[in-house]
Amino acid sequence: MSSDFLEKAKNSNSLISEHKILEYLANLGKAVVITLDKLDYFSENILDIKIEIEKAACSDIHNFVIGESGIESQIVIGKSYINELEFHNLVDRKFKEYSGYCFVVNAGISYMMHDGEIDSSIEGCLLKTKTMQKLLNTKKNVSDLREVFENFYSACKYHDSYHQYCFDSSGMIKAKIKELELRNLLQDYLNENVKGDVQTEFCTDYYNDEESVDIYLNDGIQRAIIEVKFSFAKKYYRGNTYYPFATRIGDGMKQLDKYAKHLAKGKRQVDFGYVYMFYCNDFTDIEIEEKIKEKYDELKPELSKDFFSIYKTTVTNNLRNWAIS
Amino acid sequence: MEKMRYLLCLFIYALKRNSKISINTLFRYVYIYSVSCDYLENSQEKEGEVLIDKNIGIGDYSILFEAMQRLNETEMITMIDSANLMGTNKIYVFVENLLTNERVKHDLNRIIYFVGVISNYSEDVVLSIFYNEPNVVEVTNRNESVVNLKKNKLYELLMEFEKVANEDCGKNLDKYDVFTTWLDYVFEKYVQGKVKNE
Repeated sequence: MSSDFLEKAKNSNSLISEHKILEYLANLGKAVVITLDKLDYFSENILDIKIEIEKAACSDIHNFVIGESGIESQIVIGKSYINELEFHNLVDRKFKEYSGYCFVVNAGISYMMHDGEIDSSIEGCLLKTKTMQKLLNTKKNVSDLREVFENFYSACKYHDSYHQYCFDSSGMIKAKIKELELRNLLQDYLNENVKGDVQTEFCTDYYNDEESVDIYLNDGIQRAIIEVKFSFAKKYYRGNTYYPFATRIGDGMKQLDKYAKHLAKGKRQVDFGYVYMFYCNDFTDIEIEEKIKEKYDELKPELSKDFFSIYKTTVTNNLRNWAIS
Repeated sequence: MEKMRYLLCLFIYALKRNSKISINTLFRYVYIYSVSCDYLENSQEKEGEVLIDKNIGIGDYSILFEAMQRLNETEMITMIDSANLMGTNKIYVFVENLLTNERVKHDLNRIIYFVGVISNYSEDVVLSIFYNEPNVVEVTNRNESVVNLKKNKLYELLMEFEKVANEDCGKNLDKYDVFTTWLDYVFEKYVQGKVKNE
């Protein structure tokens, strides 16, 4: 990582941290122009600046003059109800001749002037960060996993690539498609569409390497674990592994139970647990739902409270619906 | 624990009033602050050790959690749900009353500046910053869980970058510029990891 990071030195900008602070101040929702001769005065007095901005009237545009001893004066230079262009014109008129730094914040916008000119050296850098954040904002949270699973299922049904990956030219599921391949399909999709960290083979028990859960997600706020299983009827599958549907659902739940207990023992909080079942057989949707419910009812007496505190549902993905385009 | 309660109070004061704060993100801020202090303040007070929880992605979890519970018991904070909290009026009054003490004023000034920079990044990015913090990376690679800050790898990395930027490239970066550039670098890598298959 370090040589990669050091490469960034030649494009670095000496006003970047001040710009970030400006965005923070802009979130206080007031119209303020901070003027100072030396950049150091800003960080040295940030506490007082924050307190005064919070106290300042929303209806006015304020000018804070910062010097060596802190906030030297605070005057009102206009009314904040003016539109954005009028605001820029006002700032320009008043501070064009000022040779020091002007930090300007108003209604979510923020920028800097130095020696009467708006600082544009940072523009590319700030735009890049904004674009990256916009992209991230399209990703979902862990709490939205049910919706993400639906979207994944739609992708499987309508995007050719999934069908091509799993089925051969005669319409049979390829022999190489097993739990690992299916798990990776789901994991790739989750990584692209959910914020945060998506890991596979996450170890739930420090002392026993075998106790690893298929997929683990952490979006910075909440965490989820997913146990992936599959059940393909022989007539649709070239591989040799055959697990009856209901049995496999039961295996998934029991395994989730084991992980939930291990995690609880180590006080490692997880908020959601799912069993994800890829299947291909002749059962109807209603029969599938019934089988899941029956298995759940059958296992209920032996499953732990840790399981029940995290288990949300069993999600199914029927490969027979993966149509060729 | 007292120190943690103090830190948490200052951090909550620095964050946006009357809005919910993600607990895990708050705890991550405290870790990143502790580990970057050496560099940012050029301070001699080197922190000793920090216990990492690699799974949740947090340092000193049990100490911070206990401190948070004490704040809850004394009604300085309200728990909105299991993942979020909010500061009550009591905590703002408490911190403001402490400001007659120069040391507290100085600490709060530093924390507000730190929060001003790091609160621009969303929770998932802060998680990624935690996992990519050089001390955490090293400890994770060795399958351990204690970060020893006497040999602070983040400090070394940021010092090296500062040297390259200011001496070799003629820039005029201050400590926070270097730190912010590192944060943006991790942010970029994280986003690239999310879109690489598109």
